[in-house]
Amino acid sequence: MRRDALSGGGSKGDASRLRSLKCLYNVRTVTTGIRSRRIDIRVTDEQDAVIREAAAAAGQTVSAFLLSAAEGRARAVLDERRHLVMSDRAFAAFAAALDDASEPVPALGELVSLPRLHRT
Amino acid sequence: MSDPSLVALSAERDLSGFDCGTPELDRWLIDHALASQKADLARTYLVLDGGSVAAYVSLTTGSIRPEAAPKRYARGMPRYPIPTILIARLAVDRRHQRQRLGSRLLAEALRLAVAASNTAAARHVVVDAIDDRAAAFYRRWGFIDVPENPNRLFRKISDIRNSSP
Repeated sequence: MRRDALSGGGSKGDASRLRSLKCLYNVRTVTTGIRSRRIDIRVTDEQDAVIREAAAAAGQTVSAFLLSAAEGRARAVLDERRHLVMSDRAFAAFAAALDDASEPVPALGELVSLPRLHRT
Repeated sequence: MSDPSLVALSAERDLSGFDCGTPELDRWLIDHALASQKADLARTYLVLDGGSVAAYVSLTTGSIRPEAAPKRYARGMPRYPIPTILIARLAVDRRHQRQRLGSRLLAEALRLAVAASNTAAARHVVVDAIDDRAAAFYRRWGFIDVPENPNRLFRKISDIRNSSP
């Protein structure tokens, strides 16, 4: 028993887990307007049931439902990186500093004096 | 060392061997940079040295905004997010490190950022430092920590303009 549990891909636990991952969605993604790419995702019976139920409740096909959910999440993640948020107090001080007179920064002056990389 | 050059990312470039020591930055260049560029989400520039990719930088746009809903904005506070140019990623291949290539590339990225803000106004350059070592690199070149946003640093575009000869 012990040896079985420690062995690789053929263990009993793996087999039963794989059986539950039997539902396969094919989701087509949008790239420059033409849906030419596919994403394949394996899900459990339970995930399959809850997604189908939610898609039906939303009046969408399963693939349209998955695509809109994933794309919304993807854009949110990208947004988190691009858009910084500050408390109101910090933002007020930060924005006020925009009006301060700017002056040469020695370290930046040194940086832009390094040898140029030529553009080709 | 040969004379390195700066080129915009294009489809024919072989990126597969890029290795900067931070897998996340390698994977992004190899797997996502071109798709991001095609989708107009980020522009990537490569430093080529003797035909190989020695470094890259990616730029995009962003903003800095307060967490409050607009109706709660205090008097005198700008009512709109502050537009920024974001240096999202900058990495140097291991074989080209310790030659100031990253610093020279940062200088070029700042020139690109100033040029972009001359065309479509932005107020700050924000840099996204992947770790403490990267943050120290940007501080060494005069960047300041963004309040409440760890490993994000900034400089006003006007400061960069005024520091250029």
